[in-house]
Amino acid sequence: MSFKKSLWILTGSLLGLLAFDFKYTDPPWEVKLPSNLPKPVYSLNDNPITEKGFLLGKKLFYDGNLSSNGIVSCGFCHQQPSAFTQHGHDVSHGVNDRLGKRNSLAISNVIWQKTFFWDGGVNHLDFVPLNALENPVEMDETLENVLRKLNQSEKYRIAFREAFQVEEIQSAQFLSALSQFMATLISANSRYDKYVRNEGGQLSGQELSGLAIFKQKCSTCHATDLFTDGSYRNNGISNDFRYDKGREEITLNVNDRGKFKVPSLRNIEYTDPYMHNGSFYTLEEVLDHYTDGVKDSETLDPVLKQNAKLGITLNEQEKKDIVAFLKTLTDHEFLRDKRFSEY
Amino acid sequence: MKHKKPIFSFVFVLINVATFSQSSNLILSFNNNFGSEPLVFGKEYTNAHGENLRFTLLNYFISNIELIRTDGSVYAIPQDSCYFLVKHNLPESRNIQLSVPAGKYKSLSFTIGIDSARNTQSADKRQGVLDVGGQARGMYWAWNSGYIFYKMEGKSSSLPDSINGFYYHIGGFGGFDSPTLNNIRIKKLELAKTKVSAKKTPVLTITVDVAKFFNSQTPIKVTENRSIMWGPVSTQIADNYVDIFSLTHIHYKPGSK
Ligand code: HEC
Ligand code: HEC
Repeated sequence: MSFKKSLWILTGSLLGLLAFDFKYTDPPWEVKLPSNLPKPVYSLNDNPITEKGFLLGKKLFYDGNLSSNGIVSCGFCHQQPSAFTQHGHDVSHGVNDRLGKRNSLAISNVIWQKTFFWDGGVNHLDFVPLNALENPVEMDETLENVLRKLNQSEKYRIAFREAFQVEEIQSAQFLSALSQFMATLISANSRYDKYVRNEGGQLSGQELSGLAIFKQKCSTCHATDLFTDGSYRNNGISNDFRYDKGREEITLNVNDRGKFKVPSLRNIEYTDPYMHNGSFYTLEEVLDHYTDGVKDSETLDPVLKQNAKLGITLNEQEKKDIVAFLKTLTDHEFLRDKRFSEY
Repeated sequence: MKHKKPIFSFVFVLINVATFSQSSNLILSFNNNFGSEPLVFGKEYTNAHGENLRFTLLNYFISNIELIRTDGSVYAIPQDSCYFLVKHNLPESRNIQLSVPAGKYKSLSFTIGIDSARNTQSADKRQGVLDVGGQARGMYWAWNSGYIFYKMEGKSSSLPDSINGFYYHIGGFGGFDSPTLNNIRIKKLELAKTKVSAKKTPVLTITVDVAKFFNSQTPIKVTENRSIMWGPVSTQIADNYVDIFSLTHIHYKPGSK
């Protein structure tokens, strides 16, 4: 064999490999990272988002067949018009009307989150769906059975083949597809974002005053433009933790008793009811809580107990200003984005 | 013509690697026992506390196997191919086949469970025995995400009620962003001088005596602790179960010299 010939064979096979690998029929989904948010936590290199992967993830997200009664989909509890929370339910409401113990969390900007759920029990976005799927008060299924159902469906087999080049659907592809959909749910086009990014967003005098007070009184915990520092804290919602110990259930550390994830406040106008137990229905009630309702306990956050005084000092006007500011965090483009909607 | 050689030898190396990785030359054979008897599901045994036990399930993960040569250097089995799930009801899962470089080895160590890194990786890195919807079904906590390292269940007529089940699900990799239970345990076994080569395949019989589970560092009574999952007692159990593993026999696979 001549050198030329071997080189030709080598080049030929390399080209063949490239052509095989090049998913020209499945273009990558461009994730636009907003300039006012930090670097994401979730590695998009481990699970590169493609159009087919995204569409498949979306189909799964809205498919009631993922649950034991064929009705409760992820989207049943995470509804787009409510920023992917379950509207009107203090605690979540699943298969056969069984009630969960906590209020559903919004799904947005999850690629910036290090841990998931009110107690931070799950450490990777890919493994979040397992919790809902296998919980008897949520979807009451098993992953194994869901995979069996998917493998029996011609449509899903084709969709998985196109997105992941597999013949048999396994957990890895199922979980990666759901993550691809959830990863794209980025909310950063509120009026506030357009204001801080100088994209023509205007805030009124009252909203600006609210922002200034918020920065002073709330942003220790609701920090950065993610509006959370990702920590677990006790903000004085309760002092009886027999029913729900919060973060302690994961760390088994008594100092974590009654601590819950500091939630993001994006789209807060639409994610009521509020708090892990859904105890407040309006933002006014939330602010009344911070000024007058904070309950003392051993783990109450020191920020809420300065100079031996419980809570945060705010007058009625300041509360109104904060509420006005919080409403500028509503991202109407996100709540109405057709790409994410069920129908 | 003078360029022919490098290409040829490149292909040759590829073939070599492929044949090497196919053949195993070290076998770990896990024999689950109760005291001196082989463990049989459904059979009645009595533990050191006089409690009657019948087992219905025994699964454990073995991972991150390392071999230490007589000169002290270490050979670690490549991590991606070093996760094993021993299930008592699946006899083939009890034999772990490894391929290691020829040499003289003086000891062996492995993790009982799954290292913390793998407990926090993406779904595409959790296939095979780590597949939570496949082989690792029932060996994973969804709400407090992490693998269950050791799972043992059964019934005890010493328990007062009619269900009389006992359940030990032990996991905990130390916590992701704040420290919590760490039940990762590493077991080290002395091998004297065991020779391994392409032709010499040692079979190491590792006896797993579950009787010691109940009576090693800390006495564990089913009548006091029938269901241990996420809590401080799990750490005492993990300390106990390190002791249930021992190397009881080495022989060479027939045909190997
Ligand atoms: C029965 C209602 C229900 C269903 C169905 C449901 N969830 Fe949830 N989801 C919740 C609740 C409640 C929480 C918060 C629970 C907690 O923290 O303990 C939550 C939390 C989450 C979170 C964490 C958000 C955060 O900020 O930490 C994600 C992501 C999520 N769900 C995705 C899904 C996916 C994907 C599915 C479908 C496989 C799904 N959910 C199905 C109720 C539901
Ligand atoms: C000490 C930290 C801390 C401070 C300061 C703080 N928060 Fe919170 N906030 C939390 C925590 C923790 C939660 C969730 C508590 C729970 O559910 O148990 C929360 C929840 C909320 C919620 C409900 C979010 C939801 O999705 O349910 C709103 C709204 C809110 N805070 C607004 C504010 C405002 C406005 C301020 C300033 C006046 C403020 N917070 C100050 C820690 C804090």
